[in-house]
Amino acid sequence: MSEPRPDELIRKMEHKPHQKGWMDTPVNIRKGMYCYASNPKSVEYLGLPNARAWNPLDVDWKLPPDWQEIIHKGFRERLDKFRSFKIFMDVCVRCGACADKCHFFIGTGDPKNMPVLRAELLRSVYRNDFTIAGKILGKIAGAREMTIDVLKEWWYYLFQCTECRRCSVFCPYGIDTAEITIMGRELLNLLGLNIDWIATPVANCYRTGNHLGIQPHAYKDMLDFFVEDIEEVTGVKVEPSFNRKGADILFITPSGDVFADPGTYTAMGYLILFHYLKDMGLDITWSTYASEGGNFGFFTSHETMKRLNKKMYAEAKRLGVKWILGGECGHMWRVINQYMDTMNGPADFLEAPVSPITGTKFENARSTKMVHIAEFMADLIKHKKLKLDPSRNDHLKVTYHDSCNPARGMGILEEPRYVINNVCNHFYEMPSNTIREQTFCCGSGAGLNAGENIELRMAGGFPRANAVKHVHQKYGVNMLACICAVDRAALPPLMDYWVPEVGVTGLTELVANALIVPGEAERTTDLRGEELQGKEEAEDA
Amino acid sequence: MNINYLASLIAVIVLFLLVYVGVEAAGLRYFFGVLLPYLAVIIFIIGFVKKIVGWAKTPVPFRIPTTCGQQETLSWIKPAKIDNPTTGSGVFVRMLLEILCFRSLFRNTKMELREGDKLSYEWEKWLWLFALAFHYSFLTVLLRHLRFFLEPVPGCVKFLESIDGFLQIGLPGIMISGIILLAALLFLLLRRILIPQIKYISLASDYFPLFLIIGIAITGILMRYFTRVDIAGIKELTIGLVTFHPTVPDGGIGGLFYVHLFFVSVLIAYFPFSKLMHLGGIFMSPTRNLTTDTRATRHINPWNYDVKVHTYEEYEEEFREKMIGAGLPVEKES
Amino acid sequence: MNLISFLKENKENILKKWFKYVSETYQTNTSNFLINKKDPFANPVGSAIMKGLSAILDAVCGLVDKKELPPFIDPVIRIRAVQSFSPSESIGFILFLKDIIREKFYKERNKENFIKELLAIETQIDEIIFIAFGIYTECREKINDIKANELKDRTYKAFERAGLVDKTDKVLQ
Repeated sequence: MSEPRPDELIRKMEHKPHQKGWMDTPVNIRKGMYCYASNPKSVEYLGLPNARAWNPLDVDWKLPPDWQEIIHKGFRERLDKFRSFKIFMDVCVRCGACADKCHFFIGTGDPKNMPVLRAELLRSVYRNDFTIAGKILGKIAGAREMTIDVLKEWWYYLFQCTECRRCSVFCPYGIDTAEITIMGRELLNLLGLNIDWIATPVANCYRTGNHLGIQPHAYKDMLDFFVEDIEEVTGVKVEPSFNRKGADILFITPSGDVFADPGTYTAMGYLILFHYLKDMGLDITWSTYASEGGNFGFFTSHETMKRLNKKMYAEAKRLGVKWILGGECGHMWRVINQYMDTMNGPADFLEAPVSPITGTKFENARSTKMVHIAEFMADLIKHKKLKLDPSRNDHLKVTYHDSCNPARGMGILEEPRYVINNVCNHFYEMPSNTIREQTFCCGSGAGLNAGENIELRMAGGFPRANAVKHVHQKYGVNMLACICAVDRAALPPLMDYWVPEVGVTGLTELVANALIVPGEAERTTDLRGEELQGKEEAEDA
Repeated sequence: MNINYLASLIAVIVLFLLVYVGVEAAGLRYFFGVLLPYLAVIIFIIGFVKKIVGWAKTPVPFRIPTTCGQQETLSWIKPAKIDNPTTGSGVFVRMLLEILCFRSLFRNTKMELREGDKLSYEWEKWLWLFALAFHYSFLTVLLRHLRFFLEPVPGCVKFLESIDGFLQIGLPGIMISGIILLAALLFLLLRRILIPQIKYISLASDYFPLFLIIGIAITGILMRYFTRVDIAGIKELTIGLVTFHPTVPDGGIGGLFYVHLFFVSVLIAYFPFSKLMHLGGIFMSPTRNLTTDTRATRHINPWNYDVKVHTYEEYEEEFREKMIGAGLPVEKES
Repeated sequence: MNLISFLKENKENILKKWFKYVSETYQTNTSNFLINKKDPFANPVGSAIMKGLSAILDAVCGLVDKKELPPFIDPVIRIRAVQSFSPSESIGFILFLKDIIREKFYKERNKENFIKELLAIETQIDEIIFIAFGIYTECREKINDIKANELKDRTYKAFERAGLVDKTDKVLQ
């Protein structure tokens, strides 16, 4: 046997084959990256088009025969209705500033997750259907026909965008990929191409008032259970009221806070806070009808968003309250802050919100009449209305994740920080290019926090987790605070995968831990039942 | 080789040959010197106005600015008045910074670089810098060209020239704007060709205007510094154009000028149908040019319509017994 | 000069080459981003790869105990485990180091002196592959674990605590 030649011993590097242009690279729907198709029952319940069972992996998506016509007309209609859409289709110069700003591009490495390309998926069809240059020059002008492959590509990548708007911060023309994804998903919904993680919560919410489909009695049962739990921890019996006419304030929070850990502890936090303020003049009620702050309709279409959102004002009107207080949630607040008043207002049957405890008039919410709990709490703390013992959170080293929608669709940055700094002794910021308006998404927003696409979520959440890991290693951070129910659902598995020693909490949970309630027994545990005395390790439940 | 930039390059070369042969061989001076420029301007005006009107006529149903700073809430929390503007003046400054300084693009890249515990800095703002250089030098060159359209030449144009030509090197004096323009164009082009991500997202319509403007800049520079052209003849033609008494002077002007003029004509005719319309679009982008006082002032959607809702009555109808069983108040007792 | 000191002296170049090979397992435009974007928070994947490769090379050179390796190579494998790579692609990047070293080996005239050392180094790399395989398996198990239990952990647990479990089925429908 002869000695092998050198090149025989050196592995042929298996580099990727020569890369074709993106238009010539067909979509490859990968397991772990896509969500299951919508359940026909949910689609039907809402009266949305083309309800049928279908599978994204099948060749045949069971589309109506005139689907291209439907898309074309739908596209036209939206161009005529939304200046944003029209301008964003026209003005992109492909400078590439957004390219590496998307957590999904950074995490998955898939170039079609660059925001500019995600938008080009639609723009290429726009040019073909609606511009002179595209009609004459075709591909040279960046135009292409709407084919079934293009449609599948749309579906695959529009459900790999969490509408977090980080790219729009960096775009010189303010092009907002969220807006493009919203339009794209509306078009897909015209053909019945939703994902089930969105469609079924929407149907549930429509029927029972919340995403999980919790019926009124179960909703009350759950809160009654919190009452017991709170009594166990604090020795105080809180008394929430439901659907109560004549209350001053209606409280609406995402149902995730009521039914899913660790949001449940945030819900307990609300109950404790409201109890504490009761004697100071707070008259507040919960509702089982408007028992969902979140709005997955926002991830379906503007119309569906409006249909779900309408319950908030309707319930406020029925109960005759003065104004509405909103719990911690991300996209819920984008909807409230930028859409609700326009869609379902004017709320002239309500009054401009005034805090019954401090007398502060929330001028910034005088038309929409809905106040964020972080604004409400910051105001209370500033006026020294809350008796707090921050040392009860000493077992926690806290960092704060700015949830995308409140950060970039609202700008609530300081209030939560102010609150945290008043209820915790150990607070550490993550690096500046990962927080505030530059915050990285949890990777599971906009209806993508399903189980089947967990690889996508873990990869997309990596930039966020990486920053958490940094403060975890540097300062020993063990608790990630946020003001978003999707975050509270999505970040625990993300932390479990990337930084297992870090737990996730809502803001109000931290407040409730520190809040000294009159008549309470000495607390030995926090709301999660973690020992306060030991103060060694605080494991997340 | 990439079909997108190849096609654009070839297109510009073909345009060059077209005009050169047209003028030098076929003598189509009037066509290229008068008819086409007029046509181009007409196309530009109609196309530009149509596009802007098209945008302006499209409603803004929702108020969706991207908030890039603290909202205005409680009196003691300092709001970001520019990045999260609740007033018209805040929006004005935000737009001004966006349009004049390319603020978002500046935000785009960051300088901090951490390796281990070391903190070092890296200049990563080339795109912003060259984009700025390109637009401002182009503007300067454009303004300088007013000299060819106005008689007498206004003082401000002369003043601009004197600043632009502050480097008194050789004769004729070097105009720094032309040099910067060409350098910035080359940077923007090379960036598209050499950086794989950018190349991947670039279309022919991204290369074409670059090649075209490079063509304009090169012919301009050649005429100014390297070949003798009949300035007086050119001015006679350009003044003729703007005073609507077009004349084509006999000889002297040279093919190079017609190439220059033709490229400019193509550029302005192409403008309204291309991404160059970002010039207009930037003023109208709803994520930037609206106030963020969305909870304080109601925004009206002109096409707002009623939707089907699951009413409380329907809800209670379905769950009444369970609600009564759980002690929840109801409107109608069974 | 022996192979180890060659590795030590040329660490930077080897890393650069190796990093390039690894980033080429991504699409061209992505690999460019991985290589050129320096901020570890804006480019966490590139930064994780670099740290991982550097630690492996140190271990091969005997500067670091192999037992210390997992925290450094964990992030690279953890991200590749969720990036649509096959199992072999997820950890195979470690073997690229062998190629780089063999290239050097074949350029040397004095092969006899080197062969023992080469074999020793390759054994080291093989052992690191085993460590990587362990991490990869753990990652995939974790993924499956999350897939299976996420909903249960979050919702079911809350219901269970509330004593509402028997209603869960109905409720989740």
